[in-house]
Amino acid sequence: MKDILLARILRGELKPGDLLVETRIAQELGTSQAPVREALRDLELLRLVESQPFRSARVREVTDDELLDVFPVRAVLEELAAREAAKRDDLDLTVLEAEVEAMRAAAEAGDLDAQLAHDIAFHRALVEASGNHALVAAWTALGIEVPTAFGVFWTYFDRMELVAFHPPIVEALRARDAARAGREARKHVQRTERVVRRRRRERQRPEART
Amino acid sequence: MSTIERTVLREQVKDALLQRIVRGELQPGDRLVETRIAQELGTSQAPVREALRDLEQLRLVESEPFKGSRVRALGDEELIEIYPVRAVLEELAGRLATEALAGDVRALEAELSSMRRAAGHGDLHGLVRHDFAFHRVIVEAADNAVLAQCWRSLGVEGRITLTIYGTLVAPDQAAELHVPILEAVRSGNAAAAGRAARKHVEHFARIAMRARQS
Repeated sequence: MKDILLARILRGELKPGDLLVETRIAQELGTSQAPVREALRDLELLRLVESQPFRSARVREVTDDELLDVFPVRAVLEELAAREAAKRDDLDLTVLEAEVEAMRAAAEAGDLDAQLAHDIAFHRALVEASGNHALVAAWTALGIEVPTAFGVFWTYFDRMELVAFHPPIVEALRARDAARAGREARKHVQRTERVVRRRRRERQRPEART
Repeated sequence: MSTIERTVLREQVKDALLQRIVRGELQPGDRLVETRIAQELGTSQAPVREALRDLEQLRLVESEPFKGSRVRALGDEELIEIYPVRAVLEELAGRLATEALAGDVRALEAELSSMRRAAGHGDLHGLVRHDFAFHRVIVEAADNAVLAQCWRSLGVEGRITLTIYGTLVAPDQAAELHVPILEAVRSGNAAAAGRAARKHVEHFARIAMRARQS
């Protein structure tokens, strides 16, 4: 339920300010109201939906500033995660490798939804590989899938370039080089941030592109 | 009863309970019965209820409907794993805040003076409050809503409370340990301020680790 609504918001089928009426959504999707209410609450936690007492929820406007705020925080958390993961004796790279391959296959097939899902799964697996539950909780609290999705949808990265961000992290982990793994993880987030900032400037100055 | 007396009472009850928790007289899982505590401390139930609510916010106590309050068990996660996360977040906050504050450390100086004053009077409650406020000033000055939310989710105030009430650090030392951060922010050197903030957290991580092993 949450995923259906999330996808509609991300694709722009639901726009900022649009009303989200529980009864109507439940009817449309053929469910009861309870799961709809739950999904709306989840989306509110991701700061994508806002609700007021006695009124229907609305799709929230996510500003560029909010989107950009997440990058420096992600950078330090993922750097820490990669460093800690590299130090673990029982580090298993199977999941990370599989996600990179799945990402590549999705990019080649032009399946953006799948590429995005595997990209997020890669980063989650990286954070989980740290073995630090507090770190996983902090990272999850960022609601990372949303900014990532927005970043991708809004900025039209080169898809293969997006895939290519990931193998250097896996390589550094394989070499058990904690400092390098941390650096590569941080660089990845910083590069994403730079591209988002650049595209944003271009959007704000359309005349400069001609 | 005046508001001031009421506040003082609530803080006294909270302090009494905190002392018992850090001394191990109250163990994780132990029930905290309002009427019994009120009787023991010779107060009414209201300040006890408020003190329990404060402790719940510090995540040192948990309560369930119809079951009352209990001392919360702190897992390894909260005891040890939070420190590295806090360290990188406060390093980032220190860096961003230094750029934003441009040498204006008045708010930090005010908190440091209050910490010193509280330490001088043996006022642990005040010491915790201003210690936490010092860190919060930096996180808020960093002006990044995502960072602030993430940092708040770590429950830093509860951590500081346990460290200070558990006498893992002497009160005057707790205050002075903030000086390197303040001086680095004043100097305007963002990288140095970030490093000082990180080292501060790492120092307490080592203290907590040692306390756990002993």
